[in-house]
Amino acid sequence: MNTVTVQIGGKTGYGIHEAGVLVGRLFAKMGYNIYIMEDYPSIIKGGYEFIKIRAAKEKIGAHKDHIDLLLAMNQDAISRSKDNISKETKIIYNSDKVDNEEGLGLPLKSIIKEESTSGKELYIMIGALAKTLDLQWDLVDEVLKKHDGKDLENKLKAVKRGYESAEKGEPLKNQEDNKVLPVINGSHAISIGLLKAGLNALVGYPMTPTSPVLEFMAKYEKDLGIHVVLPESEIAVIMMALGYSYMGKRSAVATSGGGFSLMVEAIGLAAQAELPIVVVMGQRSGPSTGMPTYTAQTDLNFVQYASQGEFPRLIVAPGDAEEGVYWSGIALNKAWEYQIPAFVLTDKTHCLGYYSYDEKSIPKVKVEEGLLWDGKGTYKRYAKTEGGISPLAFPPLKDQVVKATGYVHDEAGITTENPDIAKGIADKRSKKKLKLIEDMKSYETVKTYGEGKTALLCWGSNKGVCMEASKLLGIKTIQVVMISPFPKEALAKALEGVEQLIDVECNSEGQLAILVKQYGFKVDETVLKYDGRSISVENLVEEVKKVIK
Amino acid sequence: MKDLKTYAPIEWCPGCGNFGILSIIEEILLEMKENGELIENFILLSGVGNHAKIVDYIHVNSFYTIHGRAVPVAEAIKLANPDTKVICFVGDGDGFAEGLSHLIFAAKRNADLTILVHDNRTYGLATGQFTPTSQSSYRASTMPEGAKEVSFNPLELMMASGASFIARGYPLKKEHFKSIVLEAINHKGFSVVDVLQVCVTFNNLYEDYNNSVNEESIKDIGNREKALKLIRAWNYSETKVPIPTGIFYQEERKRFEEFYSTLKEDGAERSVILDDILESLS
Ligand SMILES: Cc1ncc(C[n+]2csc(CCOP(=O)(O)OP(=O)(O)O)c2C)c(N)n1
Ligand code: SF4
Repeated sequence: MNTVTVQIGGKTGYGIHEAGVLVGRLFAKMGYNIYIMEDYPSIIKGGYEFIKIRAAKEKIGAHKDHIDLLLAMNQDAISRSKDNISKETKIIYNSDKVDNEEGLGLPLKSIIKEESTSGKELYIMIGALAKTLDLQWDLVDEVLKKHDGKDLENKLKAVKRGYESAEKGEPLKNQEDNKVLPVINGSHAISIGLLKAGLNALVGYPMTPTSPVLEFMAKYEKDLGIHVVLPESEIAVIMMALGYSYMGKRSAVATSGGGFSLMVEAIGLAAQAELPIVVVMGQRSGPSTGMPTYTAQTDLNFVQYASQGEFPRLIVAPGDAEEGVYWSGIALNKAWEYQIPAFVLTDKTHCLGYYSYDEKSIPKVKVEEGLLWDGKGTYKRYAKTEGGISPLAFPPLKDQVVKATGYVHDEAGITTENPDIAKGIADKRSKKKLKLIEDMKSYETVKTYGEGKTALLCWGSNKGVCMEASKLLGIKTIQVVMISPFPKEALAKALEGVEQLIDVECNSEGQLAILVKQYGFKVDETVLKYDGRSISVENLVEEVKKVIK
Repeated sequence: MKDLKTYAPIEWCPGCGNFGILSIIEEILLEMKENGELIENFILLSGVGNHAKIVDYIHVNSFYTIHGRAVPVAEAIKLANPDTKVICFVGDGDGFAEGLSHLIFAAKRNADLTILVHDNRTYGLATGQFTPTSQSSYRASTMPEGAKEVSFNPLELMMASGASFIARGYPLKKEHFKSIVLEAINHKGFSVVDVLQVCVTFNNLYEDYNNSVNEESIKDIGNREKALKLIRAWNYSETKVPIPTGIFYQEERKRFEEFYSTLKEDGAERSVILDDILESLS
């Protein structure tokens, strides 16, 4: 075998996530490319959740419905996956909780008792999986030591029991020609990108799906010499972040729609005061609390238009780990270059989905300084310049004063309601926007994969599934990576020779399709999914087949 | 530079209590500068309201933010650079209504800020409505028959929240007020001064204050019981009762910024750490 989809299902709160990631790391060590998708309810303990680990020789970024190997911790894990189980599916189940199933039943409770390895049920299952796929014992041992070394002895004991209880099946081959890549989720990727671009402070208030950004940053706060601040509300979050920016410290916030709603007023402040800020905005099912742990791409419009007034903003929507790193870095650098709000628009699928990350495949992300004041004469925070960008300087500055403000202001940052000045600073913002549009032409803001007269149009986390489905169908995929400013020219180029354009989105209105149409392009069909679940490869192929000419 | 004035035209009504605050702040900053304090280390914050305009009138670093939100900005500034001296000018609408949570949390954290509340007990810039500290006899355009709720005592709330310096001042008692503000700025930790700033246009309380403001000087400054007694002596609803002013409470406590380490700027070191992190994830 050169590819496999493993699913682990059971009660929430008992280590399914950790077990899934561990299995992913096992496969990664064998040279596989990994994609991990998780489906869990907003219930801390006792609900049903599953995690799907897919390994393939080539790069992947989407899940498949069909399960090759199922580890079932309870009855739900089987009964709720019926549609995705076939005769070929191998099932290893907890015979204490599941009866009369084909496959291998393991009495986890009694094994645990015999071995006195309480709480290690999932490790027994992982052992059985390893044997079924004929994995090398050394590999299992090595991965466990490296990634899950706490209470190692008992874990190894449990794994060994599982290993010994199962029989060898068709082996999952080592992919020796492939590099062993790190496996990270979208949140890690975004964090790494921000850090590479010089992030100093991450301010947040926990909210699915971007909490892992906070956790990642907090874990390495000391080592990296950054600040992680968790104040009383998202309003305080964004205001604090702007405080850091004012002091010349690169800051970002991480949130989801509900939290971002609270931040909106401050986005306008950032624009008027010309303070750089990055908002990591992880979409999830809405409106309101919706389904907190389920995915959506429903905030494209919201993020584009949030705040009163008119001003430029950068919005990028990464679709995998590499893009998470690369575009988050760009977002932070451009926020500082243009002194504007920049958004990393992501979603639950991307934030919590795990991908193999190949750093070598993207350009190096590093700190790119904004325009700094030359130290001559009297500093004016909002000095007029040719390109509309005023040089930055930060307090404390001897004999100089730095005045920032949310009011219409003169060059020194003093409030005014003078109509000429008011028009002048609106023009200044327009100039910045034009400059940003020109600048972004040198980036791959619209990407294409494959060839064909029919193309799938996508953004964000649907990149992986569209790429794979379009490959299977022999068509093209067009991914809009930068949402704002809208990459009109790049899209026109990508659309050359395309006769039928099929928009694929996780929302019910086709928000990207509407946007694209506003710029004069034609969208022929839409494939929309808005039940909180990400699209599987099989599902997309089937849906596209229905509309393809 | 002999003064700290800017060229911004002052937009307050003649007789507005904000003038008194402005002149005291200017005096204090100039004196501090003469005493060798680096004026560039001062950062002034404001939200939105008549009080907030003050930052336009002082030639010192400032960030004129949005209604109610100066305090979290100030906290971050202090974290970004603990050498700064951060002063927030907030209004009673701005600080006690719109942005109350921030005051409570900054007090809880003992963030090293000075908060001057221009407590004119009306929404001045919004042309005269009820605030959390308006007297019960106040009639506002939006509540012609009086408020349908009672005022709260913000200093009692600040005490409960953990403020490490709590005071009230009346700018017309100039020397007393100045000493309070000076102490507040010098205090290491969260200091809040409720300033009886009179809005001549929408809530002219000069006469009441001139008759009822008492200057207190408390000996046992860290005593919570005594402080609370003084703080509770006036509940903001009544007029024509004695109003204590002075420093009611002060204590030394670990400050917010002391929990944070200095930001590291070394990019090379960071990239090694990031490589290690990635290695640990493969
Ligand atoms: C979010 C928001 N809501 C409302 C306003 C309108 N507004 C401007 S100033 C103000 C009240 C000002 O009262 P206060 O904070 O007490 O300051 P003062 O003008 O009395 O000094 C209001 C409600 C605003 N600017 N922003
Ligand atoms: S309205 Fe009141 S607070 Fe505002 S400037 Fe006039 S007197 Fe001062």
